[in-house]
Amino acid sequence: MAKLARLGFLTSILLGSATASVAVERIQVTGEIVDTWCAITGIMYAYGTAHHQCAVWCAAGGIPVSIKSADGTFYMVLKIEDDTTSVANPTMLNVQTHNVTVDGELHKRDGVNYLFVSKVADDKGIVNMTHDDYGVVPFGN
Amino acid sequence: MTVCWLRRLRRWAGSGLIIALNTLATGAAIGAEPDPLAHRFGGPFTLTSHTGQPVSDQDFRGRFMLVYFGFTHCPDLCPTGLSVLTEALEAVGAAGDAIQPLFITVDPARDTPAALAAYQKSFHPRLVMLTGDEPQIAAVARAYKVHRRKYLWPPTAGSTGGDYGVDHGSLMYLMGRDGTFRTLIPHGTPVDKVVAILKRYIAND
Repeated sequence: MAKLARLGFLTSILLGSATASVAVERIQVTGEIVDTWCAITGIMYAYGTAHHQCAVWCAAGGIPVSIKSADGTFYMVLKIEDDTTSVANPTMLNVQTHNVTVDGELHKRDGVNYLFVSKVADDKGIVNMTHDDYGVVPFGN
Repeated sequence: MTVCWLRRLRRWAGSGLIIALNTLATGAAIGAEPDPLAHRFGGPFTLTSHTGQPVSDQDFRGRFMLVYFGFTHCPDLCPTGLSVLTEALEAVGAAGDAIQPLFITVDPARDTPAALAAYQKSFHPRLVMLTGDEPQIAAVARAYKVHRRKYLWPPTAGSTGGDYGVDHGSLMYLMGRDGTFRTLIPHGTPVDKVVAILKRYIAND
């Protein structure tokens, strides 16, 4: 038993903590700023102008926004440029639904892509006009 | 052979070689680096629990802290978030004793210890709910980078007006046994995924 304990100790020395090593990657992402909650859960249609009103409320209410890239990957934004005060900065609602290109640090953790945006390199505004097809989601006209 | 090697290793331990080996193995040798987010969220706090006792972050060293910010008048995020937290801890079972769930109010004006005590009964029995004065709450919210903004509800028929809500950050923070940041659990994460995350950190940290 004592031997096993020692071997366990050695293993811990050689492998370190399984959660201690977390890679950071610098990336550039282009995509639509979306309402994370509604988009990830799929509880309603959550893209473009059709969902803009609800998305603004979610962002104001403390749900961190995400950027959905063209390949469908979600990046949850935890920091925007020089802001250091809020994980879910509601000023993001000013660019909600916009198509943006951002530079930042990617931290992958527990299956979530967390993005610390250092710079908004491009902002094309709202380009995904979905309200003609979907109306206003979720509340209708 | 292994036993002989272990005996030598035990003798080396006194010379500090183990410390050097540990540093090497957890650092450059296998490419591991300190967690870049370890100190980006969280920090020391001293608050008052729902039982009226003073509580500090230091009281929870050796255990994980699962921290959620909210307020008892919250109509949506808090009841659902705390229900997920409660279900997840129950599903983790006895191993979950390594985790101390904490609720920190963003509305200290209304969330007195008595108000928190009444609210606490609806959730996990080990959930500790914390309040404080405005500077204390502002400081802990700033440390965890939690957004909070008070807004007035529109007056309704028969009301005297002045009722308000508080927009607030919705993430759960898992802090390690040493008090530093481990991971986030976004609002809306399914219970089974929360359970898997908690079990993994308990096993590995």
